[in-house]
Amino acid sequence: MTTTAASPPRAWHAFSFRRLAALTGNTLTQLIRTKILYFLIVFFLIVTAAGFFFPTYGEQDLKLFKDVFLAGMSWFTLIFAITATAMLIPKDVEDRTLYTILCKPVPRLEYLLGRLLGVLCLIGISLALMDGVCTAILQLKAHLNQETQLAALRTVFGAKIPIDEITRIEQLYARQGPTWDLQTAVLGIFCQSSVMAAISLLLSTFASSSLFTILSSFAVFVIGHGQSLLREHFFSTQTLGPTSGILSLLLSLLSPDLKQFNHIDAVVAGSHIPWQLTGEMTGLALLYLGGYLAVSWLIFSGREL
Amino acid sequence: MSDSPPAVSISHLVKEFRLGVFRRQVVRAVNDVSIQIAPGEVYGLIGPNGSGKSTTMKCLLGLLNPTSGTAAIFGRDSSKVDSRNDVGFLPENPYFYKYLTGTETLAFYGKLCGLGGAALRDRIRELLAMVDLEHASDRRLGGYSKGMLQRIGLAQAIIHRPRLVVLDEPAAGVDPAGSRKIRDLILQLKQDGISVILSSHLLEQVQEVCDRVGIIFRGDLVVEGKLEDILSIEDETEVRLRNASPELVAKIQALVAAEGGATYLGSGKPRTTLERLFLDATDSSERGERTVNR
Amino acid sequence: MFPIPRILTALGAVALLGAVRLPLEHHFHGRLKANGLVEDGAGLDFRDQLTQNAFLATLGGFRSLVAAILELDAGGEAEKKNWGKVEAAYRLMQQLQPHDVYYWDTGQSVLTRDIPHSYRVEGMDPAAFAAYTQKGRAMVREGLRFLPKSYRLWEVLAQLHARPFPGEDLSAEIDCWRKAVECPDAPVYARRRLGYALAALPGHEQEAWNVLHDLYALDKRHRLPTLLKNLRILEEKLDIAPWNRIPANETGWEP
Repeated sequence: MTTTAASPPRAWHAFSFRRLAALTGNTLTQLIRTKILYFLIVFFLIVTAAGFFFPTYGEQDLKLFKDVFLAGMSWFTLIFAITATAMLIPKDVEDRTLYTILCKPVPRLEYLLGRLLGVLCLIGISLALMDGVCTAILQLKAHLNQETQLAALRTVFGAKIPIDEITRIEQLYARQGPTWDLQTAVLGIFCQSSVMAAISLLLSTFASSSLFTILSSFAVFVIGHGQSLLREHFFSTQTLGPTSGILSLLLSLLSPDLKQFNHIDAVVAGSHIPWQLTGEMTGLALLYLGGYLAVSWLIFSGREL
Repeated sequence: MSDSPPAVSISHLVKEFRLGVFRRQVVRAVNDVSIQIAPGEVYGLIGPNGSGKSTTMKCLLGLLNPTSGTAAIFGRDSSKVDSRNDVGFLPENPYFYKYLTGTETLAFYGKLCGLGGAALRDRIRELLAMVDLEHASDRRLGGYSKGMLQRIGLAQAIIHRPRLVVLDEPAAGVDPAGSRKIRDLILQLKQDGISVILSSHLLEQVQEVCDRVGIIFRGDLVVEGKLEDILSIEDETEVRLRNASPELVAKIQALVAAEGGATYLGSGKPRTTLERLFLDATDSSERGERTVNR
Repeated sequence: MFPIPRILTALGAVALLGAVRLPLEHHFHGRLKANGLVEDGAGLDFRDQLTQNAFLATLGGFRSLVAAILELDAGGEAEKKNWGKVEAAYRLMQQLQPHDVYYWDTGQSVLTRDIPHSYRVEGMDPAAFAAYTQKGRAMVREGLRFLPKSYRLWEVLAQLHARPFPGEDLSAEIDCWRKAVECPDAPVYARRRLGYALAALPGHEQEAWNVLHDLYALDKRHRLPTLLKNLRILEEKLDIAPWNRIPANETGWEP
């Protein structure tokens, strides 16, 4: 068979993991090779390093470190999710690389899903790396703080530190050190960033510029932190006026609730998050992702290229 | 008569664009164009810039939705994704990801077409050799010259061995040697029975390789037909003789049908050039005349 | 028929998605509230007490970080002995993070230890000391409204009641220890503390002996010198039968 000879038509499937993996991998490669990640990693390192420079010790030291690195992770992934996703489709349209993809047997939904999954993969990998580093540092800090406190007690009690004091210190650092609840907070950060990436993708399917998409996405992020108030206002037993009720309902329907993915405050406070709630939170995030992806497809499928 | 569906079947294709803030201004880019391309045929689609060639091709490839009319590839509606399973497209000014290497680019498009594993790797090696890019296979496309991009574009267009290949200005910006290679490739495709749609401003090249040609001007298909037919000049006759004396030529002028002594090789119409025909056709269309010779 | 623009259809789809998720989110929010994982209210009350950036950060879900930074500021104020500002700062931290036991505990510690200690040279007026202790107790009780099952707060309150003022109910400390031992995060030694408190208050000897003797029998690691000493005193007071007394040669457990 010559290089140019045709082969019998290959069976075509409406969905293909291979195609999806190719699109996802390509997006991952694109994001890594455009070096946007490096800048944001530097930002994250600066933020986390700042957590070491405060004159704190003991429990306050660990709480502040958790606050700073969780906030840093949250902002890093949020900025990345919005800006990286906002640029994908407009760049493909502007560079016309979209033509060469869509003239292959690639459904538009798969293209969108591949792009989104690529962003989510990179966010997930970045979070996992940051979480690994910060958890290790937190463990080290907890150990060092604990030893410092025990050393202080030894100067008072000598070798016979009361068992109560040892138990109290151990319990304190067990609660403020690395826990599974901390990982739930990281998962919440991932869910929030994923939802914002999906929103950014949706906006980019009809927006004319990346800047519009980025600004609109950040506006949605801000509104999303007040959505729970609107929703609870609507569901409250208080009598609502027609205008107030309709407005609350409309805004609640259209804007996402991002606060429900943010458990940083609770985790830093030492609260425990039951696994069932973690599962529900993840389920809600998947509902958002699926819904926004479907709407993105609805808009994108009719877009003329 | 063949039972297999035509490679391309475009029927009364109309494409309008709505412009303006309130989308009230209507621009008709393609006006009732119908084209049939048989399997194994090389079809030249030519026309001035902005005539509707690219719009027609985009409708065929499903990148645009026709306002009315239909387009099909091997009997499959162009608006359906599976119709692209059997077509390869080389766009004008190839649009690829600059951060991917040559190998990665082919691997990416190969996977989109359903290839994978060792078969894909072998195919990539084969194509890189064919387009003479083995030495640059690990270099990112951002460092490729225009000619190299064109060649990698050709490779991705045929990576999945499609039965129809659409080439939009394949030799644009390519040196004469490269242009010749592209011509040879098209002839190779033709020999392998692949249907080709070629859109090019290099009319000599179109004349060399195409079986049929369609000329689009301002959205209308003004001329279409087999190359030898459309290039014929209607009101002239050509007679060709071998070993004929001048006297015979003179006699033939009066008694051509009865005389012997000379080998009658054939008769036909004097040929013009495609370029001349193109210019005449677009000029006559401005005056309201239209010629379609099927 | 006039085609509906795709954007409107998309908006409708987003609204439909909202209609599906709204009741689910309302239910989820209720469960978060029940577990003390969300704070009530819009947080708009903080506007007067915070800088604009800090206020925006609280709205953006970073109340914990704002509270942590406030505490750093409070540390600076404490060095300058601006106790009014320090107290106000801790009350704000408690509003921002009402479910964080740390701010309630540290806040009361400032009121009941740091402030009196800062007057150790010139001395503190007993009435002022009593007032700060009462403030500390009130602060802890306020914290217990949000964290009723917090061992740490009950322990702290018990310790604050261990120094009763004239005319105060002396059993307040015991009540706190009783609540403390019922908390799910109560350490094992909490029952010893309850036992000691019972032993110190006349009229509770039998209960004290029951508690301390149970611990003695439970695990040898509870046989600490203070426990043994209290048990022996109670055995004498209650005239416990010899066979039920701890051995005379019991020396206790050494870690």
